Amino acid sequence: MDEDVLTTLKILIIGESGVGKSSLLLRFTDDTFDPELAATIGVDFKVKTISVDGNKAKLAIWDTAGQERFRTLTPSYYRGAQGVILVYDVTRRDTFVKLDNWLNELETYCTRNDIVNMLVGNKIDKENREVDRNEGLKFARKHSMLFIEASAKTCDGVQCAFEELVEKIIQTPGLWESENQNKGVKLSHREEGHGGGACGGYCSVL
Amino acid sequence: MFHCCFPSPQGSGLKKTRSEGCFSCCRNWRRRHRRQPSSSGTRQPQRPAPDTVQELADGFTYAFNRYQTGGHQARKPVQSRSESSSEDILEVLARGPDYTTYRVRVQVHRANDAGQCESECAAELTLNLREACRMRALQEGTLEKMVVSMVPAFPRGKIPHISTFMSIHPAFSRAQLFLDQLFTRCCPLSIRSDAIQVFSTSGNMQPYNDQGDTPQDQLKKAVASVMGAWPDQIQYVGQPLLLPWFTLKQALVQGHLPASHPLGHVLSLWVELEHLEPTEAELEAAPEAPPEPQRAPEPEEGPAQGPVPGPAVPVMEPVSPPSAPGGLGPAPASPSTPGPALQQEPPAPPALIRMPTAEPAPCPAVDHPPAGTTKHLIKEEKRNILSFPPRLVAEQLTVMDAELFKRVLPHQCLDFVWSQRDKPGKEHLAPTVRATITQFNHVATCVITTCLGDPSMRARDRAKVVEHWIKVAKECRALRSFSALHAILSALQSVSVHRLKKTWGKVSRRSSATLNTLCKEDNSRASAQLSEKRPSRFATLLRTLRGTRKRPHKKCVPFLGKFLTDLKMLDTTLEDYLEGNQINLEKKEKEQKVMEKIVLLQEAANMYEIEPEEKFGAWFWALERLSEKESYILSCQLEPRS
Repeated sequence: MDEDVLTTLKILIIGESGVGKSSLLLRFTDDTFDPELAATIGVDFKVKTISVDGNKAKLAIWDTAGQERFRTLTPSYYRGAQGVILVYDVTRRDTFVKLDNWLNELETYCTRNDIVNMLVGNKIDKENREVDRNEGLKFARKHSMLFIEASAKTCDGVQCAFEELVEKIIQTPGLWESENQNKGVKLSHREEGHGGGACGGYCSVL
Repeated sequence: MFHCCFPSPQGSGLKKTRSEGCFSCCRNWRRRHRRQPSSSGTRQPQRPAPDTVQELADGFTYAFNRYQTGGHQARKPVQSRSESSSEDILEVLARGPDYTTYRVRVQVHRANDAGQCESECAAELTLNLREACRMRALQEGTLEKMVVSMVPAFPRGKIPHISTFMSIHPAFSRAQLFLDQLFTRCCPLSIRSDAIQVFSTSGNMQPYNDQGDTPQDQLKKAVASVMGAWPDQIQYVGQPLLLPWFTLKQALVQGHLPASHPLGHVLSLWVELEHLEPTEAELEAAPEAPPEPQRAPEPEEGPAQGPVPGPAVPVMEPVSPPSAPGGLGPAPASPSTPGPALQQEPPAPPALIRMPTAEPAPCPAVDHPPAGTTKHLIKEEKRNILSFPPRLVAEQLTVMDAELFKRVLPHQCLDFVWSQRDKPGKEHLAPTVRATITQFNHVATCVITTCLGDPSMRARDRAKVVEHWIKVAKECRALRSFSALHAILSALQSVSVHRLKKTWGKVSRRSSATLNTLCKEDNSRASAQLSEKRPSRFATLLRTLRGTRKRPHKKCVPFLGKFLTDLKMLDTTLEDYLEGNQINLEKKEKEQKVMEKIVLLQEAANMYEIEPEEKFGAWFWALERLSEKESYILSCQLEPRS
């Protein structure tokens, strides 16, 4: 619709049950959800347009809210994703430990290896922290992920997380360009979007 | 801002209509549609008696048309007596030169073979300009305010929105508050309370003749209304309600309902108002000591009283033993379940009465023989999945899923209930939802385990199993058994199976193509199926109510996860309370809609006529399944990671 939208990006939110994935998503997408609408259109993701470095990108963010107990994540969920937000709860170590399983899934389903991953330590507003910031940072570094700590409750870092991710994706033109061409989406190409430039530096980007 | 409208007693006058009902509805409508409504002030106060029922193309919308001339009666009216209906406008949909279309909620009353029943269905009502609903708008407000404003609607016996109201958390205390108010206002103390026994089923309650209502009758109606909404809405269904002058006991009774009635809702409610003369002491004592001396003989009055036929009781029995072999999750064994007082009642009550505890019994009624007996069967006959024809497997999975889905109590899907599932001490919550999920994962792990097989198998052998499951999936599609279908497809695409390239290399092209088609369809179906389903389900409901029930068109077992997502998103998005502690009706109404969908689909799940097959059941439950981790390790053994 928006002619000046550079591209549409598919972003996944994954992580253990109860880490606050949907809260994160909803905080970012301005708390709008209408089941009626969802049923009519038949979409299971939420869309938001975001502007980073003067580039507008439309994000289709996929979430499995409420279904974690079903073993339902399938390749189609992962297919074509350009960015993944891997969430854990800083107050529950088990959610951090299980990150390996999620990486296994990513490795299996995401055929390309230039997908941008971001690790988000959620719920930093809570006091009973079990996972230290440095641990998260280390894990992220080990697996070449962006890292940020956030609180969906206070909205701390939520916007930042998504912006950071998008920025990184846009800086990797091969990632989103080829995807879009494959899908036959017509792009209103501006100048090549790569080298988007300095990141804000407000997050720990690794 | 959300308005609930409900009919006020006749004669409340046009003024009220204009000042409150219409205008607020219009406001509401304008807000939603950003269009200027035409003048609604010209509408005159007539009863909006729907004369014709017309099924619109989109199915779920039914128009009740009344032409200006009053002629045109295309079909038999749904409601012959206007008194027996009540409609409340949900929103104004469109306005024409001589009509206004509302979306209304219609209460339809009709006699069925089990006595009178009444149900609530959403419908569209097209009214001409001369007609108007006398409506009063119920605004958002604090709990007390809402209660107080709903009670006066009673003389006509029906509380619209009671279910929405009751879904407000914690609903239990709402019911109490509401009945408290009701008794205070409507019921003189002198009422012979021992007579008040209400039989009701969830969603369907026994309406009383509107003519010549005595205060007692009114009270019965009120109680029926409230209680009818209860089982679906309230977690603590087992607790007796303690009111100033009464103890309101309840028990689930097996009613004789049309076969179409989802089994989960056949559990009916027996309400008994016991007049407690010197109440106070007992009231104090009641909460601790599980009260209920449970006057055993009383339930016997049931059949005489109303449509509580005894014969149906035995049918209930399979429900209770939570002996789902194969570990159907945290089946709450009735005696051990922590919780409401009534649940600890002696299971004594004879014949009709069943403790409400039975209600969440999540174990499938599908008769899986207990694990012990299955073992020898398996030994006798070493079977593998290939020995069961795909159709049979699909049918058996369908019947298992359907049984569980029918038992899902919609309120247990509500996120405030469901999301607490992992918290310590809350393991007993949402058992019916858990049971469904456990079954889903059981099917999925069954597929994964059989596909991986054992290390001695060759890729070709595995491919055969995969192909077999694809056939089963195809059959599930044909049976519209979407939960099992989704489970199988998920499993076939799970990490452990998906990565076995050699195996997939041996899978025939045809099977692969089928799988692809099914997957594509599956991805878009989750939500699509629901809207697709609604029309026919609703049509069925209407037909049932009209007594012209046909063979239902489409059976199906939906995938519950979709609803859980919707409810989770709603819960995350919308606040429970607005400023000033006002209840957020918008949220409640939206949640209610999702729950209504579930109820409608439960009817579709009730349409299967498949007999459980013992051998398959035995095999299915006895199969030793691999955990997620185990299967990944095995998978890596079979084909090492690159």
